[in-house]
Amino acid sequence: MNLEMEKTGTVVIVIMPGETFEAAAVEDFKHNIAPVIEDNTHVIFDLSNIRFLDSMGCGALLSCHRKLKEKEGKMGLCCAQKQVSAIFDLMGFPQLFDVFETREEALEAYS
Amino acid sequence: MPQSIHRIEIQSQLENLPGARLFVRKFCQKDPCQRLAGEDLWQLELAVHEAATNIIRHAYGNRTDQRILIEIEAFEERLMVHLNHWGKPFVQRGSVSPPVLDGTSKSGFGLYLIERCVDRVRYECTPTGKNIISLLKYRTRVTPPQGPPGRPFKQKGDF
Repeated sequence: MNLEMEKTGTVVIVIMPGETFEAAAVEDFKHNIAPVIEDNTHVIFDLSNIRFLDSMGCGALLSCHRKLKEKEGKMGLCCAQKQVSAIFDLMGFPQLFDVFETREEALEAYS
Repeated sequence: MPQSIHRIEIQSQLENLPGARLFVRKFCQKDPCQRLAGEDLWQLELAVHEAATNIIRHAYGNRTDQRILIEIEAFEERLMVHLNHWGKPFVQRGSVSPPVLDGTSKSGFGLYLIERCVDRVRYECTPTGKNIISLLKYRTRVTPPQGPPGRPFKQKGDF
């Protein structure tokens, strides 16, 4: 899994690749995201490509959130498609994460 | 009696789960009865995906050479999906609590999503060693019974 990233000031945007973020990809994601979490404090995940998210993908995002929170960082999600947003709602993510409609909104909030 | 039954067998590999979801989607799109669509369709796909993931990870302990037989039965008012496996059986729980979102919990999210996405879940062990996870999805929304959403049935007759 190649993670495309854009850095604006102190905020790094991770553009999630592929159309799905599911169990089969989670170990690879964890391996690739670890240095990003290590080196940054404010991370936004752009989910615009993702059409399907499962519980393992949710767990991986939660793990990132916990690690960033431990070092007083922030994590946000943006550009989620309708089905992914619905899964966030089922999981209760909006109570925990900052969820933004657009990348611009996310950047404005975190900059 | 179901109006139609379709089956697919996959090997116990996470990479095969998109194929299982596609099987569910195609069945529902061709279903001669009232079609399941939109939110109900992806919820059923997600529940099947999560149940199959649990079978691969927990029942088969991530072994990749085992069988999962998925059967869909179409009834006039509901769809039933049975996931058959020959691994370690799951224990029926009374209810599944909402996930703990503080990042300390690494499991249980799948069970919770399954229970939120379908109307009933049943775990069954047979004397021959085959275990079955059965998911029921009504074609039209029903008011859930008292208790947590997706409260599992305890008796076969409840299906």
